[in-house]
Amino acid sequence: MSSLTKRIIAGFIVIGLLIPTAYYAERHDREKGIQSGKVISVKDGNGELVSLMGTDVIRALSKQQFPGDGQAKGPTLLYVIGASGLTGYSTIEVTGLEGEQHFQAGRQELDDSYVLVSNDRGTVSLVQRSSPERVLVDEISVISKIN
Amino acid sequence: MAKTNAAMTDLTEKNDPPSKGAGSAKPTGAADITRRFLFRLGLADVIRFTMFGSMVAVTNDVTRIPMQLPGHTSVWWMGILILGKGLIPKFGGGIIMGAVSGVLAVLLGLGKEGIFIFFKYFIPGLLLDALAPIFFNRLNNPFVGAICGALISLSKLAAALALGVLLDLPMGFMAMGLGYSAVTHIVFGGIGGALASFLVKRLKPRLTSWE
Repeated sequence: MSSLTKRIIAGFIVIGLLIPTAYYAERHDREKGIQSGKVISVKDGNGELVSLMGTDVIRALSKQQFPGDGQAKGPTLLYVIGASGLTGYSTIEVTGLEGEQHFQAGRQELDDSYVLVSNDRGTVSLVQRSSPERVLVDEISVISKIN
Repeated sequence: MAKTNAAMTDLTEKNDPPSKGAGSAKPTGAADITRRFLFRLGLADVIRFTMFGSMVAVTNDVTRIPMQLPGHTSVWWMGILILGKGLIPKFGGGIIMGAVSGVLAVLLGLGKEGIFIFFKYFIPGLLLDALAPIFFNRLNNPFVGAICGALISLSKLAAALALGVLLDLPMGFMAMGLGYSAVTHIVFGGIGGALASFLVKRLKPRLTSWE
């Protein structure tokens, strides 16, 4: 076997090893993000995952919803749900990281008054626009469809 | 009269260009494009690499393929890089192509990384310069082309990820699809590299005057 052939085989092995490494890094990053509240899981009525949204994406959604508005605290809950791809819901539940804090709201109640605000810990909290100092759910972990 | 004739002969010799058959006649000054200019490359090679680098940036700016797959640009991006390096197998070519395409990408306002997009273009070129000697610069071999194309395409993804983390860009969705992105980058880069190797094989014998 020539030296070039050996190197070609080694090259293919390196590529073959890089693919599972990328999948492992993705899985590790995702689990770490979910545990720390930096990744929010959006689930449907059966508890199946609809999408995962990083807090960086939430910040980007804020700029997208309120372009050029420096005073914007964050995107509305309704806007985030729409961006996640969750549809056909009548009641929604927002759960905090520890699972202790819950917030439920019907579709009619979900107006622009509920906002997801970024905090210093790199996570997001649910607040009411009229009283942002009162946190409804701290460190949001899951947004799920109830029915 | 004889004196006048001798003077005319002198004048003719001074004004005439060296004949084609004069093998010992070497070009001098600005005309010497084979002399070392950058790395171990002559000015002509640097200009050729600059042309390939420009092709990368301009093609990325102009080409719009409605293919919603990450890394599909690697087909022509890595293809052009490997074509350039395959036709002129000299160290520094990848660096020049990467740097030229990176500067042009900044000037053309490509991407959302601002001036840092330079690194996304520069890193694949730099890695190509490191990889090609490992395979004895045999970029006319389709397997070597595919491996180099796949690896430098993956380096582009790695550079984009690193920039996203450093600049705090919204890349959550990208990080969550890292495995899938890596596979598509490898596939498209490999295709580009293999196609480029066929072109190198066909073009190189016709470009003997490039040496």
